[in-house]
Amino acid sequence: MKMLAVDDSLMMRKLISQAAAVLGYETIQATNGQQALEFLEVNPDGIELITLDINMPVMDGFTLLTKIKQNNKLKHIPVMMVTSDTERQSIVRAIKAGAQNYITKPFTTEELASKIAECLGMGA
Amino acid sequence: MKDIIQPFIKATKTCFETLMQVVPEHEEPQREFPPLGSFHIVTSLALVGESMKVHSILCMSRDVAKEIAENTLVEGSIDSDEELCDAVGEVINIIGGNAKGFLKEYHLDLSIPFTISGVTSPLSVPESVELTHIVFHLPDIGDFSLCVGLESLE
Repeated sequence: MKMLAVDDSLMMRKLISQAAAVLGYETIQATNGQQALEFLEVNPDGIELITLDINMPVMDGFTLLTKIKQNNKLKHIPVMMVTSDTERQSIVRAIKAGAQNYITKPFTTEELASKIAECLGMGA
Repeated sequence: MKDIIQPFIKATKTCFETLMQVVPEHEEPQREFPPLGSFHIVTSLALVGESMKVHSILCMSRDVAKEIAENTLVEGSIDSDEELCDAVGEVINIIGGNAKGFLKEYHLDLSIPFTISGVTSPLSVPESVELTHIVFHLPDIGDFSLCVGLESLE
């Protein structure tokens, strides 16, 4: 079982990987939206959840989210936004663009694991 | 000046309370900027709107950065400057993102954090920007500094 963590912060990718491991998931990591998109275009199957930061260099999270939801091979993959931007307007924009859920930084690993489990339909 | 200091103080406390289960105490904000040579890692982030740009700079020693990074992660030791810079950059990203939520009436966008290690690197803040400096104390870990300044774009 695999998920994809897209975040320019190594620390955050490690936190997400650790939370996912608790749930029995292996995490593939990408440092920006472009790198994630290139991976997904070659590997459209097998990813059960994408966690996606908003504020990243090269390609930001909103752009990647839009591209995923416009791609017939990828649009079924649930996307959870992981962002430090607590402004309601940004969260609403992400949900309207097709994000299934979101979590705002800072959070504990337990809170993150719970949110990932929720997105994967595993319960808390 | 618009009150940009309190949102950053609140955001900093929220950040450390959640990540490390400790609420840092802070000193009174002051105008004197700490000497750059006091720190090993300096990271900056801006909140940018149509009429204003809020500069924020987080400065700390290598030891404090290491304690913060290792207390934030569930497992693993962090030794490389690259990883320490990444961790401190993420901290300012969280502080800036939360401060943005407190300043929503200004419709600000978050920049990407810019982090440097070593004491000789310059800061990318215009000389005309008056920085306010706040020292925070993390019990059993040490001190770090947050500097915040407002630049008018009008």
